[in-house]
Amino acid sequence: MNKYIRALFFLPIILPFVTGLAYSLFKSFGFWDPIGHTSYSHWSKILFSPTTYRSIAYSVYIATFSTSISFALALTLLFHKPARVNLLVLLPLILSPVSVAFIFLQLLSGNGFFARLLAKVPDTSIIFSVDLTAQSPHGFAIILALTFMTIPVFYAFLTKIAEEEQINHQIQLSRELGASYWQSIWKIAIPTLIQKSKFFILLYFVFALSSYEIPLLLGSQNPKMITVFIIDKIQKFDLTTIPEGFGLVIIYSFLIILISRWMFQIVK
Amino acid sequence: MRWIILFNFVIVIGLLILLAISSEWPYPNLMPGGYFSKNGSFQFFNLVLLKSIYQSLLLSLTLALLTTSIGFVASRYASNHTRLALLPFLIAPIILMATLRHFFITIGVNNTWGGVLLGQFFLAYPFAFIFLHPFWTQKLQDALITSQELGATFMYTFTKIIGPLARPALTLCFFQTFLISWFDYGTAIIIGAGQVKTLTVLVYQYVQEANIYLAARASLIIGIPAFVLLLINKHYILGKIPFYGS
Amino acid sequence: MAMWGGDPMINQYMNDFIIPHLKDHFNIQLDIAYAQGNTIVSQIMAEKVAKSLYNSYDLVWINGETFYQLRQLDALMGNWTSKLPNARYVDFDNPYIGIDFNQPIEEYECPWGSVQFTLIYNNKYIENPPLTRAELLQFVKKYPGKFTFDMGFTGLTLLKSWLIDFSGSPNGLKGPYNPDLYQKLSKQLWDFVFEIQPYLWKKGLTFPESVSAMHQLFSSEELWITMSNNHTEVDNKFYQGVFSQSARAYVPEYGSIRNAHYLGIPIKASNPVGAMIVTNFLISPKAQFQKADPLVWGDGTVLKISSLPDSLQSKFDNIPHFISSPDINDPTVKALSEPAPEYMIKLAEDFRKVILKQE
Repeated sequence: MNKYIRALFFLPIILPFVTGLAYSLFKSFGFWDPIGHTSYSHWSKILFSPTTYRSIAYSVYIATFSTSISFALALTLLFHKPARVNLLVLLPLILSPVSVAFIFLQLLSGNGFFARLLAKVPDTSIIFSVDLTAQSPHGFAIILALTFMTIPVFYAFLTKIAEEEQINHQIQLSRELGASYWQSIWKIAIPTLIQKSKFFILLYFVFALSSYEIPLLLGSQNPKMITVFIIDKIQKFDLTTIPEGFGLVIIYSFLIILISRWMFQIVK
Repeated sequence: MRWIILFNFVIVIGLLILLAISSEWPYPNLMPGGYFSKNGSFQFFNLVLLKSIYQSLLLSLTLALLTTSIGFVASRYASNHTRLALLPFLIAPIILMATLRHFFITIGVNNTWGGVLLGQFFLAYPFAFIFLHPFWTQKLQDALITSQELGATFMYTFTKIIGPLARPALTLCFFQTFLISWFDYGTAIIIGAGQVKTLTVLVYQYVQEANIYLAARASLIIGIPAFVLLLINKHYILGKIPFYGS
Repeated sequence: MAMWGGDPMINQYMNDFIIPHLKDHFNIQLDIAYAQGNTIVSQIMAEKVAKSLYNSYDLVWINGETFYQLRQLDALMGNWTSKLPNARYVDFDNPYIGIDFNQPIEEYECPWGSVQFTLIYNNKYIENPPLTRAELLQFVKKYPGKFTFDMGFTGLTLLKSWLIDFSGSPNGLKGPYNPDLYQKLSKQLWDFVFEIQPYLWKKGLTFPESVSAMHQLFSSEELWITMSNNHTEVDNKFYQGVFSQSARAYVPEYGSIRNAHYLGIPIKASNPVGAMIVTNFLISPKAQFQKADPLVWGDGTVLKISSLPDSLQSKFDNIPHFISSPDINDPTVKALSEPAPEYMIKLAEDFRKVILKQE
């Protein structure tokens, strides 16, 4: 009996994902297309298009940088001299991704806050020869916005892990054995925290990769992050690109499944 | 480290608050202006914003209640395949909804409040399932069996044994699933088809209109319940610090 | 009703004038969903494939390639516009109104407004705006980063007008879509875009997603030229406080596209009668006059002024509050007809492929 109850409760979890994937597969071959016909041509367009790989590579690049920087900053925050700043560090958690994207647009666009600040300082064009504004192809604004959102999450998680692993105690012990404070941090505390955080880091890597609202408002037209590219193909370009959009869903899902396998191995 | 806090609070949140109460930001002025005034009158809320707040609140509270209660029961029966529950959670919500839109249309819940609720349920339920799974330890399972063998009714077992133990986890799960819905944009825009105007949809709409003041107001309103939940749950979220100094 | 929501004044006109009037006089609650173009088409197509009983939208604000794609899907209700009492005032004989992107509307959509594309420049920095493509090239070289065009409908309209200019005749693209002609002319077009690209905003590596974003850049003087599909938007934006007094609108020497925008009823609308009542009010002299004022929207009317009662005629002839909008009834203001919708679809696709290198 338990087996059937388990299946019933598991159904709303796995069914939407599997159904969506199956539907995407059929749509990518042109099934149920009122203006087209079934064909492999959509797949050859996707697989032989440099834009597909550019989009995936760009998404991985954005996710890697934003995750690494936010983890590193969260670690830095953890070991800085303590102050009553917890609530301030956690404040980004109260903003939705679309709100974060909006405010960073106001900060980093060509007529945003920082542009106005720099306008008051002469000769800054030499320093800022690289386009660091919103919607630049380097994705600087996206990385900054994602980092802003992720630092408090990593910080909170690291405080929990530090407490569970008794990092304080470990640091104290190693100092009693003659190590300096920073030696204790670098050789003992940080490796322990990284080891315990692997799953969480990967989880937030995937969240960054799958981000939509932030690259939608802060991203450039080329390259685009994979989620924005998929929705553009399905909804915003003309009807002939819809099967290609669903094909990209399959590729994106495959990438997520690959990463999740890695995550499951860590948990094991 | 202080620069991180400075950036966090003063610049980002500060600019958001200033934009929400201002009505102009002419270039190249550094700060927005026209605080609490727009041609002599200022309205923080308009009808569209109020309707959206009501819709978002109702949606999020309903979803949180539904997913927490069902997730709580469901996680008791979780097997070793709990990790599979991560998969729908990892896919971008907007992508998942784009692939399921056809089915929502077929069953007639597309562009309805109920459809958005169902879509958000598919996102939040796996979270509740995974989140509440660790609660059902072997010890607790044994305590339940013992209680039932000693003749206790289900209600007694639930209110006297499970309830008190489950309250912190259930509360946190309720708040987290509330936020999943509250912050959701993808489900509302795809399944809602522009007709279910949650606050997040409104923020994007105002950005498209280049109406940054209303976008800031909607963003600030989105932050209020999240801020309250943060204050309440701070102790659950953070571990004990400080560390002994250098 | 599904409509583009990118202009706060249009949204205000709908929310503050149209919706209350419909409620008070017809007991109709009009709900607005912000969606446009291909998003509407994608939604309706998904509903057709899923064999949905009803469409999500009862009324859609469309024109051009959207109308074309919806006709392809056989997704629009026909034979309804002549049933509207106020249709007797609509100027269906006007080729810019009765024909949508070279397609006769044939009662599948009802005209709502009429506009002409203009470029808008900042008189503070530009005394003589570029009137030809050659002058534009000189302008962007002299003032790099001060000009661009958006990825949306407005930017594509500019590209279309350049395509017509390359044909050598204002009627160069008249008639059905000609793929060979398109290939020949588009090659010249993209060569021109490549020539100006390094001098565009952000070196032409990225383009504003929408015309609203362009107006913001113009108002902060990051751009010195913006554009609009609506010849009166320069005044409308001035009243909104977005543009300064130095904003001026003009039509270049090679002309600009004049067209209309329309209202369509999806074939499975749940309330087609309600949609017809709404449309009838939207094309009424009262509603048309209200939106013609630049203080409200500044949208051109689709009504034949001579068919209106005298008192209304004089009202339409004396719409107040125009400042810098060009008079599109002036014969020196050159109007181009919209080419067939396939040109726009191909242009959008090729712009992504050729200029953005995105497939």
